[in-house]
Amino acid sequence: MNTIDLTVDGDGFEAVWDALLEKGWSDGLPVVPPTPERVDAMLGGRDPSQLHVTLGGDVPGAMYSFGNVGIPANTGQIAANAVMAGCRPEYFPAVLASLRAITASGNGAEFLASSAPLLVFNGPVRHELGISSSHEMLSMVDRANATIGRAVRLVLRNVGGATADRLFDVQFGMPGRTAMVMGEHEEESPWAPFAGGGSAVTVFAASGSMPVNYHQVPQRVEELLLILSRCLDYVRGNRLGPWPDTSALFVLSPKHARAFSAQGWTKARVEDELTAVMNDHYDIELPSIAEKLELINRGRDPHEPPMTIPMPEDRVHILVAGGVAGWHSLMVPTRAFTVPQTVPIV
Amino acid sequence: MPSLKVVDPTAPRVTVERHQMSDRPSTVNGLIVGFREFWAKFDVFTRAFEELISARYDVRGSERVDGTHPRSGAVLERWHEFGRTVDWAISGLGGCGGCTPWAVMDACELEARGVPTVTLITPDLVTLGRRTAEERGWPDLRIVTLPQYLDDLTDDEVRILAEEKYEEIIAALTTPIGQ
Repeated sequence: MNTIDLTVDGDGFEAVWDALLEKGWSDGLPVVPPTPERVDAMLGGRDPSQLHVTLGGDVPGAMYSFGNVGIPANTGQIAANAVMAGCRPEYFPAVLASLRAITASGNGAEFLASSAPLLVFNGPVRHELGISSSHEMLSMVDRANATIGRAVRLVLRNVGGATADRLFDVQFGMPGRTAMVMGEHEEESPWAPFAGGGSAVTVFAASGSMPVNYHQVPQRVEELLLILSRCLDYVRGNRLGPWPDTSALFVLSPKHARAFSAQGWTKARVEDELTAVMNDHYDIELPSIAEKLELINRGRDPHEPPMTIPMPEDRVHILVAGGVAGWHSLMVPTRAFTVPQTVPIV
Repeated sequence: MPSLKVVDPTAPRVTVERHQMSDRPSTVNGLIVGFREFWAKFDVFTRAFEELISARYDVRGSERVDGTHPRSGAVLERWHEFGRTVDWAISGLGGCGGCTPWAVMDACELEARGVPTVTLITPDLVTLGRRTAEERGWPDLRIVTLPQYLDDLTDDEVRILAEEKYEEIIAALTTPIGQ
């Protein structure tokens, strides 16, 4: 591990915090000093020099300013960032797995644009680490949710170099980049978990979270499906942009999921119905679509077949999470060209 | 002053070889100017600029090439031909997060061919353009700014802008490296 002597101008917490901020290592919030003792504890005997993932790399349209050079992130650097984020050492495997999931999704490129990595945990790890999947799970009020997500963000920033002056698309940023972590509320779901077979993390490229309200009692699933479908108007509209780079994840509340299940609906059926609605968006012909295609093809050899706007590989996904008492769900718009990746936690 | 030993949470920046910028011409007399174009109204700007230099200098000719990426086949060959033909070039416009790095990367490629360039970028994107150039080994790339709202201007307003920017662009082309 590369250690340095951090010059601290004064005594006490504020002086250390100022020194770390001055180094440019913080996301703007206070960080825990990554002393060798704390980093060693985070590593838990792992080799700090071991290469874990490579951030960036030759990803078209993503990180031009990095020079398309992949940046290796070793275990020691990741542990230092996990310490600064406030992680307990037992969270470290979840941080490592999350980074593997991100780098398996377009090598992290999509998470450096207008979206944030939404980390969804399944399996025993939720209880072992205290990752909330119920009330307020996306408010980052639980230490595990807040600090695992923040550790990932600090690695992208400090190791990957994902600062505002180096990024490709930072017109607005995204508040979820600080941390966007949840568990699936498997115990209250009528369906199989998103990722079964043990502890795992799945990463989605999320660009927001929008409440979906349907309070009617008894619940009529046809009406609920209609309301969920109408929420896809945002996705459909954004795909007319004219690049179809938005998809959707629905986080159904346990009550909404149970309403579907009680009427015999499988999760796959709900996903299929919503995917069909989401993808039915070429019925509107905007001049800008033809113009965009003309623009795209200007750089191509005229003897080659012209490029067409591709359909994303992704489809609507469904999770079940949140408190059990409410008739609300969430629609999470996602980047369509980043198919969610699941990585086991070992 | 007290200090605290900490583990460095950053990765060392990749060291990039620094390239030598092309020699700058002292005049554009007898030279062929190239315009690498992308962005609405940028062609109006370059044509107005060409009229201005043609009125002041004995310009030998001009070439234009489309700035759209990625290039392939005959379009890519046309880009290479452009690089072989022109004596100096303007690359623009960097007006968004995608086209700014492209304009810069094209300018870097031309500089590597020995073609002196001036890259035109809107103010908010100069930092991104500068980073892009630095991380390719061209920290001294010559950059001049144009307003973000070029495409909102009338053609007459664009021509006035070309007059206003004329001296700055010529200076960026002709001022010797290091000055």
